[in-house]
Amino acid sequence: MKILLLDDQPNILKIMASELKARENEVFSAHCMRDGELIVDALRNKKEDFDVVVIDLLLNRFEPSFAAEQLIVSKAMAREKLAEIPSGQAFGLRIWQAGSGNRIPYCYMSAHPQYWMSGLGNPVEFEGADKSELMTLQLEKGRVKMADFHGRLQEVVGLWKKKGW
Amino acid sequence: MRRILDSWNSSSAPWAVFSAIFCISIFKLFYKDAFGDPILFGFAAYFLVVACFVFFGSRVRPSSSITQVSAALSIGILVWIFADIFFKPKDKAPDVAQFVCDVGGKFSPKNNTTTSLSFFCRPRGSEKNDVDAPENPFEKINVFAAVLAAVLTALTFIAQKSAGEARTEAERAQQLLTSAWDVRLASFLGQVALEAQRIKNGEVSNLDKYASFESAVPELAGLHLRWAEVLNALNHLLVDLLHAVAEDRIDELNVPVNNVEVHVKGLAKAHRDFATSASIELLHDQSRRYVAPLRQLLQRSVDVLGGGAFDGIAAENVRKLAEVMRRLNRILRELG
Repeated sequence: MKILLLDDQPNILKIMASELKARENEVFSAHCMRDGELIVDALRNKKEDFDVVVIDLLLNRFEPSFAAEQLIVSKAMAREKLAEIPSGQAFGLRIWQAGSGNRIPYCYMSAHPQYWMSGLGNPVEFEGADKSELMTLQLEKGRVKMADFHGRLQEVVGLWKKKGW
Repeated sequence: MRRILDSWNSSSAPWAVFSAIFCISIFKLFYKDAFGDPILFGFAAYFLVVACFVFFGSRVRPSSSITQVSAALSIGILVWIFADIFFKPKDKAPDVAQFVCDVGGKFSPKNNTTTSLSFFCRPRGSEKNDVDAPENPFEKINVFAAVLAAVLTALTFIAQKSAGEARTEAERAQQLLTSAWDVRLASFLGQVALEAQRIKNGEVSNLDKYASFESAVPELAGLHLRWAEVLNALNHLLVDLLHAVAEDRIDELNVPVNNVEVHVKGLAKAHRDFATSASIELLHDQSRRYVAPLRQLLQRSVDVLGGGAFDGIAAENVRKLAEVMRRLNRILRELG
């Protein structure tokens, strides 16, 4: 599989990438959403696409090029009375808003799943997914063993195919 | 104001004013008949101008001594002349008005300005009558004016010099204060940079442990991963703090502090959910290595910043920075 890992912690990226590479995956790493978008575009220019993108839910910095999506997420956080923090969900929403047929399968990864805001986007992100499917789409850091990581990503890809997103 | 009062207490300005009051009193007591109230008005106007220069000169860039003396003398003499004109009976004037008439008549006999001021002047007839009267030596106004100007100039220089000294002392004190603050701030930022690097190393160390424990003790490995995330968030915050202070963007520090708070709360909960001797030992070890030193640094910094004397934007920025550090300290308290 071609996998893009988006995480602002380079050292965690190294561990995950090394595990996935050992399973003969092709792994790309991005430390911020802008880098992630550039890598996706670069691959598309070569008429290729990622099989799955793994997005860290909590990032360290706001990115101006994702201000519109971040605003949507921030408003949802405010409704939930959560402190406003930069969210990788802005990157997910951009992929989601590209519409059916143009989307790359993606999932989130975080030790703080409560920061995934449901009901965002038009159509709603992960529309029609039940609770267990949403759990599949949110990998909990520290709970998913590295040895199982590859398998979990395959589940994500399978779910996207099944749902026809 | 306090600075001005301090300079007033420590300078020779009181002596200048005391001397002036003494001179005025002497004139008033012994030469009132010769000079009368107009000269007192002139004196008062002169000293008012000098006082203005001394008072306002400590707040704004002062005028030169020559300008101060000239302005004070001009205003003082003008007030003297007009007081002399309006308060003395014309036929008894010794007197400045007559001096104006004489000068006008001598240097510009055909000048219309003399005519326009003619109501100041005594009639020519009365002037002739006064020729036989005993001459008062103090009526030589030009001589007296020279003496007066010399005295007043000396007094003005004393006052001006004392104001200048006070200003210099105040500026020097402010410079010392500013440079002391700069040294403290630079020292604080240096410690923050070192702490950020140490914390970054801690993050790497925790990730190594996560990788090594991950298959054998996954819960403990998960805690190491969470510690790595907390330390990563702290590292980002400290680096942001360095940039924020340098670039005057302290308002933007709330976001990384929020980030730290989320990770710290998650970590504290994870420790509560998995409380074993190994996890407690891990908590104590990490607290001792990273949390306690950072909290001490934050506390010291808040004390240092609180002790500074700042104005305007600097004060506001320091207040915000101290608030950020207090909040971070409160957040970290959860980890011991």
